[in-house]
Amino acid sequence: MSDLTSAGTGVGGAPVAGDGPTPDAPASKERNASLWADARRQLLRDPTFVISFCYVLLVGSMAAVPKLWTSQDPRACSTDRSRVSPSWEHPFGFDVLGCDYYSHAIYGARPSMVIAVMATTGIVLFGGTLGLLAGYYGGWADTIISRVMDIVLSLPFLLGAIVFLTVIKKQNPWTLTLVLFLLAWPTISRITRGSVISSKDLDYVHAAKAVGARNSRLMFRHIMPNAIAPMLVYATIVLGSFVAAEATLTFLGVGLQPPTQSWGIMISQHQVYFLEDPWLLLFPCGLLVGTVLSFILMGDALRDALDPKFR
Amino acid sequence: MGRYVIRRLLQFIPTVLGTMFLLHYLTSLAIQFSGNPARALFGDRTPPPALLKAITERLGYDDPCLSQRGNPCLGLFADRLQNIFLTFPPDFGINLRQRPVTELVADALPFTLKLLVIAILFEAIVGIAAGVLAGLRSGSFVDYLVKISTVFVISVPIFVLGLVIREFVGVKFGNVLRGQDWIPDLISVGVFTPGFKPDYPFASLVIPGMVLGATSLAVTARLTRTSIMENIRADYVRTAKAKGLATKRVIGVHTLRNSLIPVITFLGVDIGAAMAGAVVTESIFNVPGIGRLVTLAARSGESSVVIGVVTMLVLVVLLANLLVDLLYAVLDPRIRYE
Repeated sequence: MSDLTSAGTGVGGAPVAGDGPTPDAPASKERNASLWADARRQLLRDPTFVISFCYVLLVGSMAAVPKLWTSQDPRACSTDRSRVSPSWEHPFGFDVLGCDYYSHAIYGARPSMVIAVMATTGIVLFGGTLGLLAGYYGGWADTIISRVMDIVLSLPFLLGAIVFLTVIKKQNPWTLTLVLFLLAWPTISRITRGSVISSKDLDYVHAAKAVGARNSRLMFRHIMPNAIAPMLVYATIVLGSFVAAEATLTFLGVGLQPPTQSWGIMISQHQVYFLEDPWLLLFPCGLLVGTVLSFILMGDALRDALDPKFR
Repeated sequence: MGRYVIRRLLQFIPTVLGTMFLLHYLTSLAIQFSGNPARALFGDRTPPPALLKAITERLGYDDPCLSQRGNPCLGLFADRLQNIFLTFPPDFGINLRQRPVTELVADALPFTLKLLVIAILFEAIVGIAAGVLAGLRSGSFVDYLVKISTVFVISVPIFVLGLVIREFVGVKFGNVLRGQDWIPDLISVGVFTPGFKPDYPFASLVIPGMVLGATSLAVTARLTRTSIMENIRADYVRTAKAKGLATKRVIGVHTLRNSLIPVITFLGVDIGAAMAGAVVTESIFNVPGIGRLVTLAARSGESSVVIGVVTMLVLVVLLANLLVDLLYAVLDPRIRYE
């Protein structure tokens, strides 16, 4: 969180030239701590945030280094073990093709997380920039950008994604990321635009302008730090909804395709066996719901911690 | 107010055109890059060139711009707009077997409409009731119950919820009910069914409708809760209490009226979202509605059907948004649009 702390020094209003509170000298000891130091203290005391953060770290480590979690190969299958129930050595049992289900679940974390992280980075950078430009310059730039946002937002998310993926006809993590990115950037743009508009007429911005700050400095140094808190909250929640969206599209048959490992594929392939072997469905569903829930709870906790009105 | 309406209407036109152009450009690109869609009719057989040419012509895929990569095909777009807006009945294209998309949608529409009505009613009634109960007694058991359960419902992807409910409620619980003689068929066979049954067109859509409305129900409940909590401390509510009005009237008339403005806006916008959500619900519960039409067409690669139906739905969504915005201006005179 140290990068957030330094980014937040502008929030207090005083454009400190460089040395914000450093992580090894904790700001929490100060009386007048910055918004971010307060938020960090509150978050670390919040059990829901800590638990969901740990869960996200857990899933993140599954996605980054699956070898850490399992030594089995999810593609070593043998049909005579088809749908064998969970045992001590194979905690999730075997799937319908006789592959180890636990390792499938571990390797399945990667596509969801990679897609969610890439798409979120994309919308934060692209949507944030457009929102900043629209809010700061107003006028024609605002009109054009807002109309484009309206156009994209008028496509309902799932329908838009189905259309894109049907016409692209290539379904891999890259196209899924592209689709999620293309359909989701306007929301974060709107959030940024709103907070830029509300803070661009503040006194300290006028003061900075009066002493001759350039547009770029005004935007990134004085106005943008106000928008970071709502953007961060939204980005956290959207990570969760992207994980869910990837699984949903895969389930509908327009997302990732079977030789890949993914939770959505696990669910859609085994839904017919629910009555005989419910664990085939419950394990991937549990992992998926846990991940989405963690991101949403983290977002909620962040919102409460970053909004001074709730203190 | 009048100026606002006019401005909003003027904004509506470029948005509609822009969205339709986006969809049109996507189809054109798809055809330019992946070839003649009429080939899908023949599977992996090679059709005789004359036959292919005739079919291509009849389906309208013979325009030369469809073979130039990246060409936006403005001529075709103009034709398309003309077909949709200036002909009666509007023409949204045909599928590969030359049935008009409007006909396909007309067959599927009644099921989706029923599903939507059930979903919206369910989320409005239960969501607002739960939100009011939670908002009036913040910090109570009901409040925590509503808060926690809504977070759970929001974070369960709708298809997971649908699958689990289909198997547990539709199949397992339904089987128990179907084993009892004294329960009428309408309930045991109609309502608790794992899929749509043509014999019970309304009853068998109740559970799918509830699944469809579940996520929005949670959002409605949270929105009502915060809105009530904000308004309950307002001066006019205190005044109403002070002049001795019954609590029922203070809550039911004075507070609710103001608190429901954002909720109604959300419900209006949610009609569009629910239509998209119907794609998932209908494929899980096998309802022959618009959503399943889109999914089946997407799976078999019939992009003309997907685009036609989605264009139609987007027009409906845009109209709903327009109406909601206008309604908002009427409901809340505090908001000035100038």
